[in-house]
Amino acid sequence: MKNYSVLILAFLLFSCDNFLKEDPKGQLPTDNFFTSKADLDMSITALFGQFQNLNQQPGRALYAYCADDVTAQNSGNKARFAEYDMFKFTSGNVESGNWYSYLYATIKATNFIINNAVKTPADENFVNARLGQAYLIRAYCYFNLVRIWGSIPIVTKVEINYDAQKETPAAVYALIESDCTMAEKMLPINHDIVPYFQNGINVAPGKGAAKALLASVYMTEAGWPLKKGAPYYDKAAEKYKEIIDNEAAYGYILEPKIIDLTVETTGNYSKEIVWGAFYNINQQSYMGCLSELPEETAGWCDLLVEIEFYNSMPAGPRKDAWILKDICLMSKIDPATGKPAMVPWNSTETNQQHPHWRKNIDNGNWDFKVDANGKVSYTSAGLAWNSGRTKFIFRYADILLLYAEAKAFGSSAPDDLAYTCVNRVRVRAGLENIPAMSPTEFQKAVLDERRWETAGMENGCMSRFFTMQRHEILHKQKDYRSAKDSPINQSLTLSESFYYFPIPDREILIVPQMK
Amino acid sequence: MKLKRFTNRPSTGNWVGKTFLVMRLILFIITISVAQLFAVESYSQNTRVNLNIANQSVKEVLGEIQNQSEFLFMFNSKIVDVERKVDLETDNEKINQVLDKLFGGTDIAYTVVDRQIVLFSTKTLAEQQQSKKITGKVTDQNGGPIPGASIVVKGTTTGITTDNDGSYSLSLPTDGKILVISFVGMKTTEIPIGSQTKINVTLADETIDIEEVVAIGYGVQKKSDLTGAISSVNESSIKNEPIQRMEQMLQGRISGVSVTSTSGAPDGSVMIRIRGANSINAGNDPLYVVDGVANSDLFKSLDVNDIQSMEVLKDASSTAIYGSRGANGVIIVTTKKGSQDKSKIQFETQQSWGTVAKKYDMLNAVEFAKFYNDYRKVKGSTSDFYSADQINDWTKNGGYDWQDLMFQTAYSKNYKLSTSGGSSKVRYYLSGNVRDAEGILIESKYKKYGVRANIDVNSFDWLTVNFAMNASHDESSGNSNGITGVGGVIWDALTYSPTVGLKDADGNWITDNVSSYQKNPYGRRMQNKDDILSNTFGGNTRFSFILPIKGLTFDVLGSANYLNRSNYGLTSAMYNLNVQNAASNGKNEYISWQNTNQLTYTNKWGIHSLTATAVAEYIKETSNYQSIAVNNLLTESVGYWNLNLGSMNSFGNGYSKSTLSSYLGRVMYQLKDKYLLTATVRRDGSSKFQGTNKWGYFPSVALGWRVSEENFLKGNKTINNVKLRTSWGVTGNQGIGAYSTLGMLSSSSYSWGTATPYPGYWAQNQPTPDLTWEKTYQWDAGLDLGFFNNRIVASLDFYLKNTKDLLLQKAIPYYDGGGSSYANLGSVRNKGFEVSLNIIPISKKNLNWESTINVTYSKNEVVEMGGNQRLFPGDFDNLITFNPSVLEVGQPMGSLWGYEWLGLWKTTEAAEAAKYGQKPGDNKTLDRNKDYIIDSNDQGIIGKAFPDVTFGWNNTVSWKRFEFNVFFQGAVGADRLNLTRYGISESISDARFITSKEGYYNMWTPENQNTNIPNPYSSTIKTNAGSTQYLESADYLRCKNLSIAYNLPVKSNSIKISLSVQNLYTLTSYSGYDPEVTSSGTSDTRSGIETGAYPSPRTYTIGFRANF
Repeated sequence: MKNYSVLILAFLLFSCDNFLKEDPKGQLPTDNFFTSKADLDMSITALFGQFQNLNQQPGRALYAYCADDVTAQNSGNKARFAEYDMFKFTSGNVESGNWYSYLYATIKATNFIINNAVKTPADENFVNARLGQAYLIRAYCYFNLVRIWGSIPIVTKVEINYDAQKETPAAVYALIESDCTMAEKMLPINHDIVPYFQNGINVAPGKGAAKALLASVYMTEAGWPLKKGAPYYDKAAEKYKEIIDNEAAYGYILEPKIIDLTVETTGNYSKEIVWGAFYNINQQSYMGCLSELPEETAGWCDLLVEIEFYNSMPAGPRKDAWILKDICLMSKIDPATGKPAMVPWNSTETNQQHPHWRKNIDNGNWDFKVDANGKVSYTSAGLAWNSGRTKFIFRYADILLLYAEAKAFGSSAPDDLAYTCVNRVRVRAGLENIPAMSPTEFQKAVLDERRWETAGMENGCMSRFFTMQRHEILHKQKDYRSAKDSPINQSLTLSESFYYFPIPDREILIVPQMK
Repeated sequence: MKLKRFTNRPSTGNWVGKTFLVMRLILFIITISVAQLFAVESYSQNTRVNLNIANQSVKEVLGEIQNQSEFLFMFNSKIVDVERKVDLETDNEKINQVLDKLFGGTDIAYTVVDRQIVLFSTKTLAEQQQSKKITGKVTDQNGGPIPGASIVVKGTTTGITTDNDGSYSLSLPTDGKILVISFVGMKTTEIPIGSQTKINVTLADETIDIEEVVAIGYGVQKKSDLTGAISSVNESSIKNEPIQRMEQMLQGRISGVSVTSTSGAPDGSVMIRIRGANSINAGNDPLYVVDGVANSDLFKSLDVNDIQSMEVLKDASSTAIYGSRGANGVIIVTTKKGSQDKSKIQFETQQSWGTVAKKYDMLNAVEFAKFYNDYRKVKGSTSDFYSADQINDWTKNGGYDWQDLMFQTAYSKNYKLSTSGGSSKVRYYLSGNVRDAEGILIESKYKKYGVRANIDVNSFDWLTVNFAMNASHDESSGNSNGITGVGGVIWDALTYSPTVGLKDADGNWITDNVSSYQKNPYGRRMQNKDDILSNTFGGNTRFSFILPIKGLTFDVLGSANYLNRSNYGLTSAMYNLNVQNAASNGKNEYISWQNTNQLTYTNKWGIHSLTATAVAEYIKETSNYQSIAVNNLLTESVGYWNLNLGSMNSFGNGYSKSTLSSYLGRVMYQLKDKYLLTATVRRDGSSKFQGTNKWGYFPSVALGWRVSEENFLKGNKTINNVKLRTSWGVTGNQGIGAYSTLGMLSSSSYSWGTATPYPGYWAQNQPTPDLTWEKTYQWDAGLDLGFFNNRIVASLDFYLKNTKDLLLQKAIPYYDGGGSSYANLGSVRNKGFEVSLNIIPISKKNLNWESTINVTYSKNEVVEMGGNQRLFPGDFDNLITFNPSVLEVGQPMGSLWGYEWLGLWKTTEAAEAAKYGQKPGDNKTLDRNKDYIIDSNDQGIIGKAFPDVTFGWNNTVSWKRFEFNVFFQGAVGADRLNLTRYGISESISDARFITSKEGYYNMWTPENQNTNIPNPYSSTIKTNAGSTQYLESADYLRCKNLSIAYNLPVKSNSIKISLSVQNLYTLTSYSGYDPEVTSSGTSDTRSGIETGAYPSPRTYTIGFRANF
């Protein structure tokens, strides 16, 4: 009997607190991070992991459809893009949360670094070269948010807060300017270690990117909606000039053959890249390829070239590089070549009868050719959406044209450098130099040049939509849009309800004060 | 294809009608069955006799009664004095009244057996029996002899056991009147000896008995003493049905339990819900307990033949004993054990052939080609896409039927062998099984090998040790990846142009260029590999001590279970030369460990009886995984077995552990065997929560009253059993992942433009230290009834469940990073009504009909969600372009969201249509806010994915050596968004052209306006997948099994041959393959959407079973 009791007691008393303690092997705790240099580097890598998610699909940047270069077919699962193209966007559009949410998720990753990097046991230069990137990307994200949604909440902590309030654009711009300035101070011209610097360029953004962003922020503040005017164009010009004057030190060039920018092998590490999002075809690859390919070539056909844009764009190597004029009909063999037939974009054999964008489709898998007569041919080999293409945030060509734009709208007349900048871009595009012009003519020439150079869905920081918004010309496109494109909302006017997007439904559902 | 419903459907009303139809049907069946029963049981009660006799002999009187009725008298005229003259006058009297008058004052007695009346002398019987010898044979229900059965003369010490062929011979003492025959596992039977000298006895399996003992968790209880809502199934519930999966044993056989095969693959997932879904995010799978060990992997690895019985614990008083894991109900499995002294061996095999039960009517190549040429002409093309030569060729030689290409006749084999037996010291049950099955989809295969041992040893008279071991290996090929959904092979095959074949002249797989965008689905099935190998190994030992205090026992259970699951994949480039091939290899290990220590005290003092239980239990579960994936394999000939030939894509590993520490107590008290009380409390500590939130209490109490034991009902011949039950209790759900409250850093890699990912970490999740259990408060009221010697047994239950403090994934604002984090928020209510009926309408020597019916009504409602009126679980749907699944306060989980479709614009409505930019023949959608814009403001709830009523009706009829079984099962009140039909009937972006006959022959034209297929030629058409247009009722009544079996007339053993058909016929208006399956798996919040789900096969089976 005694033996039994001991036995039972032994079983019943078997228990200790340790039994219920969690020991998450292999996982990293939040509160013990940033205790080594490697931790800080890992946090920066994670930040860019979010940044690559943000830029991964062309369709995420819906604002691009609102500009006068990109259109979408108004049917099937493309109708959600067409809503933006036609200025009939609603807060319930399934895509509306994408760009917004990825921007804020990236901000969350920056806040984690900005609030904790100081703990890292490392010298100031080491920390600054990384912390500066976090400031830069936070500024980039808010810069996107404030331009697309206007008043938005400012979040600078890693937290869950259901009581946040919307802040005015002016308040947001104050944070952006401050972050940009921090980044400009902290970041080196060239990073000194792999992988931040490799293949001869900064894969992680450096000082040049910070200056470019700060200048662009000034220029945007000059126009709609803050309308700070000429002084801010001047500040912008000054900042862009700091880059252009030191282009050798920064190592920026214009890629001699423009089509090389659209080919993986030459474009991915082009010295024209001031700031880019880099992809790995085997990991998280860039999805521009299938997104832009025509349906006839088994693409998704997410976006098309507006007819008016196509007609207005001057011919030349730039147009050939940017736009797919001929469509490969996979289903029809050309008896002459024994290969799939090529037909012009406006052939009734095609579904869309539109030119397609080809800026992002060359993922290196297929054979794209333009002959001496500008005749395009490509074989339908590259159907994988996988692509390691680099997504450009700023190219040096943008910087040159943005300087010209800042001078064109600034307090003093455009200088020779402004002309030189425009002409450098035009020459590469196969166009002639522009002659001396009146200030107004120069303004138009610069805006046209920028329209063509940064056309299509580059997701670039200063793409066509932002130019049109800043210069209050978004609503004017209803006067010149081709009838062959999806019909634009005829009640489109210069007002916040069209110039900004509505905050996505999900956000309002969770936090009603976001409405 | 005739469709009964394609107009907009009202959310209520329709199913109500159908429910009533089914109810009426069932009521009708019950009435018939009961009438049959009355006819048998009450002939002697209902028959009246009119006599007016003066001075006639008894013999003449009996003759007169025989003339007036169907009664037949049997008597020995040497014993019964039939020449006695009597006077008798009766006026419409019952037979017993008549006979009492006739033989009053004599020593003649009578018994009425159906229509036969036996007359005998009470005096003579006693005299005759003095030196009587009784012989006979004891057999089981299959006619097999039972050696070792005990035969005792009631009230005496005289007795004997049967010999090897079940025979016995016994000298009867003078006072012996009744024989008591008993055997382990069989129902003890009492037989009045009467004048018989040869008594053959057939013993029934104990399980049919009302006194059946059921497993209740940490113990067993007599069914009559139960206070909770517990239902059982056992071997006899699935007689002659070739069931291969544990889950299928439950389907349609237990009220309150919904079992849905969400895929028809041989190892497809099955969704089991007990009394509805409680939880929005923390899972609703029940807890599986096998011989006291809580482990769902162990449950799934078992073979159906090894199961003695399965009990489903439904109400809180039953499940609270499992505390923090009991909220979703508990399924307790008791496996077969060896029985003393009787060695048995059983061999069983089933060979079956499965086919696809229903097909869509698709266009042939000629129809398709002509249609497409017409279509292109209307769209402005000047040339024909398909040439006249091509069309002529298809006219002659036919095109391609993609359904025929993708589906096959699935041949499957099952072999099972088991033996059991033992002595007073050791009892054993040993078994092995092999299953080799094909799926009806090409290249879908499943193999399983299992062995099991269950051994009991009586080491001492105070110690019994049970050892059970289970090992299984299974291989599943081509059943998990790329089958269902848009882009899965079923959807793709249906949307593939019938003009497209398999390979071109160069041997390359051909891709559709007209309808589907996807690569050749047949080629994908042939070239890709997707194999999952699992090994399960489990063992447990239970030491049961009888302690020196009377009634006190102590059990120690130790158990370890191991599951290793490896998955191997190869994505070929062979069907698409331009993509990279890829191969992967992953291994997962799950190890669980359990120790249960249990003290049980049972005693009885006069009118009081008590069972008290105290348990301490510790459970630990760990898992780890490794995975590696490569692409660009230099050669695919090595399959996935030489990843060195590829370039590294990704690799990973991980570890997880959770523990549970529990203490519980239970008291079961009975007063006078009629007033019953059960009270339990469990204290659980879980590693998944932090600090004091680790611990929670789960109490319950239940009361029962056996009304039939009261004097006013006791001994009533019609009403055998009436019991009222009620219970209340709290159970929990801790279904979140280990470490999920800690807020560990998340990984996020970036390659910095290289081919190698760099690891990165960030604070995506925040810690949630305040998180604790989800709690379910359940109230149950039940009534058990038994009539006519328990030939009608009914059980009715009503329940109300409120689940509170849900482990709800509360959405985080996008501005704080989006996603969601767990919080204890919101509540869900389930209420329902369950009826189960077991009727034996015919019980005769050569003809027996047993019928079981169960019906479940359940209503689920989201009551509150942390202040949110509406949440959209999951993501938007690509076909629909918004999220079609919604959680809304006041609505059930699994509600469907979208537009109300009003039909097609008629030619008379052209002006109104134009206001929406539409033309006649385009879709007309309800514009709720009348703003002439169809947008998200016009969306609302349009349907629900889960049924209101589920039911099953199982019939077994045995006639002589034949056994027949027919089993119906059904569900009413669920909707399906049939997007497969949408994809094949309309030209949409994911399936560019129309492949179904319906889409072509039933399209809108000015002459055919009353249709649901919009005009495909329209340039203004807006397709409308997320609307009531393709919302169909998924109500069905299915003949799940029809079988006939024959027991061969073989001596001293039994051999049975059976033929059966499963899924023979489905009565439904649903136009898709199968109203039961969905493409949305086992989700409770996102379901009811069908995009090429794997249909359940119709299976023809030949079975053979031999017992020796």
